[in-house]
Amino acid sequence: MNPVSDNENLHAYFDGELQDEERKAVEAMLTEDAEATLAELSFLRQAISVGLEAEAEKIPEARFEQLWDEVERTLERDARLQQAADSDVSLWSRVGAFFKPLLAPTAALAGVAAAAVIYIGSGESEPAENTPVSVASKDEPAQAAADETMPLAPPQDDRIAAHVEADEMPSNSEAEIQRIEFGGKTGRIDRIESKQGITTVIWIDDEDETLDSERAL
Amino acid sequence: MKHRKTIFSRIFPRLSAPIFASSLLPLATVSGALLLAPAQAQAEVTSATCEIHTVLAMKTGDGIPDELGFLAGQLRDDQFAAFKSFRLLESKSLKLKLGETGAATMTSGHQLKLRLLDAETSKLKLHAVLASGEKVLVDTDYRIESNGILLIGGVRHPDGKVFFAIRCRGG
Amino acid sequence: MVRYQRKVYSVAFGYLRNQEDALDVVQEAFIKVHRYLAKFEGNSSFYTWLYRIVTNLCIDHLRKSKRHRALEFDDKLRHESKSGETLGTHHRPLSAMGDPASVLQRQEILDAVQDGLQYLSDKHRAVIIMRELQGMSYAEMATTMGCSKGTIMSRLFHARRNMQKILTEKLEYQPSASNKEPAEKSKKPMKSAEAVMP
Repeated sequence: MNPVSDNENLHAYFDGELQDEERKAVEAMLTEDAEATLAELSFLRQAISVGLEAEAEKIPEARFEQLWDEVERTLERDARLQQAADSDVSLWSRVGAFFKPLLAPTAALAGVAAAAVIYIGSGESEPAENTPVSVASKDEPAQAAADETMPLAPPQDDRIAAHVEADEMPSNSEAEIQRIEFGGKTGRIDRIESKQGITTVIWIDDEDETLDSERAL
Repeated sequence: MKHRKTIFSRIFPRLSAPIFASSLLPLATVSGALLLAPAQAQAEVTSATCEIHTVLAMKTGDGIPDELGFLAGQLRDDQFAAFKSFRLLESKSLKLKLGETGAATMTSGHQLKLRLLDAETSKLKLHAVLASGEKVLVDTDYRIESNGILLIGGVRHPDGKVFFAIRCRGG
Repeated sequence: MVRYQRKVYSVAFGYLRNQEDALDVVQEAFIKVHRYLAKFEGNSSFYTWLYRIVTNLCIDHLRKSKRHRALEFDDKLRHESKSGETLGTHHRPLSAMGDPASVLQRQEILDAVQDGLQYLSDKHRAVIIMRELQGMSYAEMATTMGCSKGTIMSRLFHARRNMQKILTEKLEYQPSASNKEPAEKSKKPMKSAEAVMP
């Protein structure tokens, strides 16, 4: 290595970013000018640190108290919103859930009445049968979800290479979590806004330790 | 026969039958249609292909490898600020038909079961269960755009934390 | 967390150069820390974690505000400083002004530092703050700024040279009663500077 007075390598040496061999090589070739550069870098670092700390000292304590009050207000609002989100999903879901039990009897009753009227109106002699119009129905997805024993599809060759293109992602891939249980532990649902759009993250609290208050740190 | 004269025909002597039937039938039809699962009534898609990527987040190391470029935006978020580097441990694929459950067992010891509950062209509804051995960590139903990614994670690993990126595409 | 508030503010102010913007970032950073604390493990890297959150917030803020004026100034500076020039020899070395501990008490030095940071481009200021104040490694800086380590090394090199030049220019005409050394090239490092090197 040629002796240098100031270059990127010298700065990396100053920052402790060189590997052992490189560092020794630089040390062996240090010139007086290079050492002067190192002294300047040291001074500059101190000046920046002291300068910005002095700026921070100018802020009165009361201003930070005000800031902490706002932090607490925001966190309390978060907690209230989280509680509201946890209790129910949406107005339409609630309306739908409320009326869902009434759909089957309503359909059956209407069907019976319609059939009876049509039958009687046709003048046939047979008595109106109290037979509901057959209405196709399907197992509720919610009931299927409650089924803990999920019969599996036949095993597949499931290993793939990760050829995932970020461009293929939809602009809004935020997941709508409709039901969640954390297996006895706690967890949290978060969202990330990034260039790939909005991504939902389900965080599982997989720790046994409890955390101390953050103010105590 | 006398009992065939119903109360309806007494109240609405002439047009009762056709009018009443015509008003009841739509009601019956609508109620019946609402009971029909929306998936069956509206589904244009009956299957999905899901990719499950197991990612290890570590407190040491250097950055995001190229193979995790599709998650780079998410991994740079503050939620992952505690981790300095990430590694793709493995990737698996499941093909699901409507109502069918697929399972992927990862080398990390976790198992992820996915069931396709509902599928439309652009949106999927899935049931996901993440377990570690016999212990269920999370059990959730969610709806997501086709090709969208759901991240589930924060589970312990000797080298850091593991999370799973689940991406399903309808059709 | 309270004990970190001024340190976090100094970092944010370093990036943003505006008191209220810096306080907004401090507030937002502490909110995020509270929200994501459950995901943080151990206390050893809490400071690093906190700093990364602050850095990301500041960078987002800078991207939104798009300050172009400083960038143009920085380009001019970069063209003027030639490779091969040393910080310690071309200009009167700051470290020759006297004992750094007392030199850095002088308000004109502190003001010159603020002016210097103000004139740097956003990218140059960012690498200076990350390295000099936050102690981030080149790899961490590269990840944060979405560039290579080589780019970080280059940016830091030029940022320091520009900062040095600005400081020297600002202080060149400031007579100092305590500075009795002539304004000439100094070829020897200051021993007192070595003693206070981090």
